[in-house]
Amino acid sequence: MTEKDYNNCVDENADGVFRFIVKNIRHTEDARDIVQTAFEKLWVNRNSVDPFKAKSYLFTVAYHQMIDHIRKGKKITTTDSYDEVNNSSTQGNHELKQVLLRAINELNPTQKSLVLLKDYEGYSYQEIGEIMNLSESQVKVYLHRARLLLKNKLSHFEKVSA
Amino acid sequence: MKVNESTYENYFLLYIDNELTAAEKIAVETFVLTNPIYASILQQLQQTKLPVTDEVYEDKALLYRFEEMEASLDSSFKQSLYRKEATIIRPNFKKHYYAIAVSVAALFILIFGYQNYEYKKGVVIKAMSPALATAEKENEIKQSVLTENKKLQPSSVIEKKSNIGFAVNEKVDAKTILPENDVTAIVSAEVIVNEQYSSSPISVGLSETTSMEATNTHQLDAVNEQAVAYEEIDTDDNDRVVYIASFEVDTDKFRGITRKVSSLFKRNKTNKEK
Repeated sequence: MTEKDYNNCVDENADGVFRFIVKNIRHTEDARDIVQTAFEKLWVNRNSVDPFKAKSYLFTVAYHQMIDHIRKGKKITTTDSYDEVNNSSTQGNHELKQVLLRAINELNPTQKSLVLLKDYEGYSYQEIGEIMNLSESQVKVYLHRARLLLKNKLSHFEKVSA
Repeated sequence: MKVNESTYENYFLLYIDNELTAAEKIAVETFVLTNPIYASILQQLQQTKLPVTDEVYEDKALLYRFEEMEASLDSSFKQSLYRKEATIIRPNFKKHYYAIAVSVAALFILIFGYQNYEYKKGVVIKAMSPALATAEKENEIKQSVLTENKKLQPSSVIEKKSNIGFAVNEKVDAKTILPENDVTAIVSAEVIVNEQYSSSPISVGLSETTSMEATNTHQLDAVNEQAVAYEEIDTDDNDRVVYIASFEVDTDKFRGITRKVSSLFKRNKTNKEK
């Protein structure tokens, strides 16, 4: 990976990695630190990283940094530091999206990361498994459970609001 | 494997995750069209997909790297640019360490509390008999006065005046009336007079014993004041109070708390044994 490849990678993936982390830990400054560390590691190991796999390398490093961050017991959910609702798209049913965002935050960290990697980055089960150090079948099972949980919460909300 | 009533959920989940082949996708869409009651289920699952958001990492310029620039910069300087996080020290104590620490602390509190209680008890006993205490002090003072008066000239004249109504005038010629050995009697008489009229100021004649009398009256006044102070302490119910450091604790309540704590420890122990 050359210097140019690295800087292109910054342009293409910095926002995506930041979104993935900030949606997980919901703390902007800590998310920025994790992204910075991930790119630092990419730069240090640039000679051994394939440019085509730079994105998954970045997500892998950032994910493990985030896990360390959570294990250290740092801020995971601070409502003041990150306002998700205001950052979300305003198209469609706004209330339903709010409920969905709240339901996402009630998932466990693994399920949450699975949903975020699938929906935002469009990674396949296999790629998610490589990033999160899980088997493909585990990714499938955990993600399907998360989807069904979200579906139940949304249908419950629709019943209540109807 | 076909899409049917028993496999539809798995297929729907794979469909929204975009994990199906083109043929399988068509099979799912056909199933939904032919069975409209499942369309709402697919729609509900599609709603679980996160909406598109536009988070932006603002300072991308900080992430760019250039090898020439890297070579010219000192690595310690680059490290100093990163935000430093405070290290969090977490003591990794186990439960039994906590139990030991609590029991030691409780023991210290009990020892010091008991010592304070004993000390307080002694003070209270003294305070309960102020007459006894004053009598002891009077004896001490008399003895000291006796020894000092022995040194005085026997021809000294003692004169006393009281400002309240009836004056007590005593002119005693120690040399003519009393023998040298009876100086004690004079002093004791003076002490009695001073006790009776301690509230009135006493003017003393220009004799050599003036200063002595004055000191005697002051000492006796002090004794009387101390006795009054003890009486005030005596009004409190001191038996129920224990002092822990500078805190006053009701012994009954404290005993109740210690019993509860000890019963909790016992209960845990029995549970563990079971």
